[in-house]
Amino acid sequence: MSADEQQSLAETVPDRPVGFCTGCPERPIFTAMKLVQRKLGEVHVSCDIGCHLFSILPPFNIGNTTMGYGLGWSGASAFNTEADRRTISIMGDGGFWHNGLTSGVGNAVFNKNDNILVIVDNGYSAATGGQDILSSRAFNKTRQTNNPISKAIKGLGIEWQRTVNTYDLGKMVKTLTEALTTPEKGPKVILAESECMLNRQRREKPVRNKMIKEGKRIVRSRFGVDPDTCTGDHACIRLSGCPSLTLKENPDPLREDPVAHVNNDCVGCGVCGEVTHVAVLCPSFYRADLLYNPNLWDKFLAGVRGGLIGFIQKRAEKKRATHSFGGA
Amino acid sequence: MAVTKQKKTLSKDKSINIAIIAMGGQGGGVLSKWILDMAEAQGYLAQYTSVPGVAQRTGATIYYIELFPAHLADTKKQNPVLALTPIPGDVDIVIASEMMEAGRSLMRGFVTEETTLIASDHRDYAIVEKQEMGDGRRELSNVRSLAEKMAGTYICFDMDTAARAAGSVISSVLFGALAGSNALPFGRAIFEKTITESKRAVDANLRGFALGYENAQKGDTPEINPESNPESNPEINPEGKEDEEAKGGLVPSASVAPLLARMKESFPPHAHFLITEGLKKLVDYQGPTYANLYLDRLKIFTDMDAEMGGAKKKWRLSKDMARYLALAMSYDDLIRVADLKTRATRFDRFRDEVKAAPGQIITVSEYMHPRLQEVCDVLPTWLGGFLLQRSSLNVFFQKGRRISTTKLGGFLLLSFMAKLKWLRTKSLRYKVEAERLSAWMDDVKKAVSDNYDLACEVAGLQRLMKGYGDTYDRGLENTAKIMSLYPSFKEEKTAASILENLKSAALKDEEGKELSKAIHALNVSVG
Repeated sequence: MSADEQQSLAETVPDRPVGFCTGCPERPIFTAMKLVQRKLGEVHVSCDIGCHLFSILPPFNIGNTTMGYGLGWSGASAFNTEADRRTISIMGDGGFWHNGLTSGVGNAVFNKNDNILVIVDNGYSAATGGQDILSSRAFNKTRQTNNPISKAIKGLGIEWQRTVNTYDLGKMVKTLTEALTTPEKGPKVILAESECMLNRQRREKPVRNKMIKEGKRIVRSRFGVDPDTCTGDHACIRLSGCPSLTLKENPDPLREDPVAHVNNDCVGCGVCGEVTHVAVLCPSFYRADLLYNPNLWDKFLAGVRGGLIGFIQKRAEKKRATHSFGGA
Repeated sequence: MAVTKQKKTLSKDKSINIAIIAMGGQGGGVLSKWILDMAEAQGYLAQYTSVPGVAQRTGATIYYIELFPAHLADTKKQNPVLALTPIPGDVDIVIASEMMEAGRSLMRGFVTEETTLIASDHRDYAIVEKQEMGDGRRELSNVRSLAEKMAGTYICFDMDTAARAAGSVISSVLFGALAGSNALPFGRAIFEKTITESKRAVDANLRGFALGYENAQKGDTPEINPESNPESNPEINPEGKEDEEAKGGLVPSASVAPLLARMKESFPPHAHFLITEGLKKLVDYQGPTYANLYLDRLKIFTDMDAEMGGAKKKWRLSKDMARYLALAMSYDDLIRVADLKTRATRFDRFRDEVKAAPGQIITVSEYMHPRLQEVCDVLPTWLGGFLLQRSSLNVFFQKGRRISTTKLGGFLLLSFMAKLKWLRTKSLRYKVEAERLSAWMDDVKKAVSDNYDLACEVAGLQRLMKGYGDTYDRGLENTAKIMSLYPSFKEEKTAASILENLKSAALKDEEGKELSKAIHALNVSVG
């Protein structure tokens, strides 16, 4: 290959870094951080080992240092000084039990740290394949699970702690803002909880498929984007990076930039909708609830709704047809 | 397009090195396992390696497989040492599960004239392509031509579409294409047996396999179910359209026929396609009278274009203004959104998009977050302006709303709002937009006589104006930034390309880093 050819390939083939899985519960934590930083300015973020470390890659680009497994908070302990802005450290539940409990939380309590720790509690040592750990919610025949992290840190003396479901983006933004701005001194811990989507899908998908086959009433949600209200700015992508949120040719021949598009891998986690609400983006996202094996009431209701809506729509179409362009 | 180059089968007396260049979550592990199981059953010592931690996580990754004939080990009475990673120049078969990844395999030196390259000609956009505010998608024609030039055997077709057609995943099609390439010394039945014995999704995988196999064998196969890709060329001959009409196609209604007639009579034919699209959009947006206003406004520019000898420039100014004026005049507001969301055609589209089964009941919820600003936008100027000053009203607009258009309440609410079109031309937003529009049109007009290309670039500033809320405000802000600099460079010979650079920098990132860099560079050079 000639040098020119090498060069042209280097330009058209950019890196393809790893990212959070479709529906990952850790994604919204960093979406929230990105939104908070827009309001309050950049924050020093000390990362840890685990899937959450993907935050350092596009589209989030969040994270300044990574020291080692469970060392998220100790990696920022030198910043426990008088400053006008607090630091945020990240730690996974695996890292927490590995050594973060002592090296991070214990150290922070002992040294009267005034900074923030976000513990990403997804119920497993997820990055290595979903093994159980002390705080896993699952029942385990040979191990003792269900030892909550909140209790452990309470025992160490963490008074300021908040538990937030990671998919509740609004609450996450609020909680992070509170932690960064409260006059209350002392170590602050946010427990960001939601089960690893990969593990959840592995468990739930076969059950759901079985129930659908057995004729049970099931609702499955997924998201979509209306291409005619999407103007192709891709703000939603920059705040999410979900693999199932991708690009599609703009169906409007007047518009040049591709529109956002949700592909069929969507697991309906709802983050893109939440982002639309919290970040005030365009009204293009919709959630579709697909109903399997409807009962009589469902069918009746759908009939009434469909009938009336269809009637109004037909009238509107008729009116629009008076301005038809025919074959032009 | 399917491309195939000559086929040869590898010897049974040599080791075989296979690299799968894929993305995490595409099933490269499954494919590796199939190849491994098959080779072991055929008397090979085999090993595969992968990079841990990228499964499902969509980053570029490599699975590497070495097959060593067991009979060679037996004669030498020694076990081979199999490598963990592929070595450039020493890979017999490269399987790339996506076109950009095929490019990566070329960059890494895995593809030589001895190599069989099997690549899927489809795109799965990388995050750096997706996150840009404009169009960050890479054009990969160089990858396609280099792949064909460099590989000994080259098999390439859209395996993603094939996998969807088979209701399977891409790994089965890749496995089929591997069989169809005849590179491995195993027959089709042996491949299929491997799938059958794996016992998982056997039927779907066999269907995908068959499509992969047949396409690889065929050579110059036509595309599989090509996604409809109509008008990629906006200069479609308007004559062709008239033929269709003559053949008894649909005739335009009386309300829009005069618009089309006016266009044909007094606008340059090169711009007819775009003007027609503009007319369609604006009639749909507000009505034929409004679309006529579009023609009035556009006429100024097409006349100027004619005066300036636009034919030599392929009527670029007319075409650009036809496009951008239509977009500027159809800004998105609550009325428009409500209208688009309640249409029957939209209901059909979302059913299709979420792959609902025929007759399946689905409920759709729209994620909307109108702010006080957007509500005031559609109100009459005096009322909107008055309410906008009442910041205490903001408490009602803190939260996003979920409105279900498949339920009666939500549908009726939105279809009522869609009926408010008559309010639009008296609204606050209309006034603001009209002022913006006239300032922009003035800038274009002023530029035309001095610098034709620059005028086209000024027209193209409209591309920055998109979206709603913050996104829209950012567009305004970037345009303002660029236009504040405009007087400092508009006299330059290179003014058009300066403006073009600034514009594309503004579309790169939302923090405005690239734009700041471009502005800095400009200040240094202009002084």
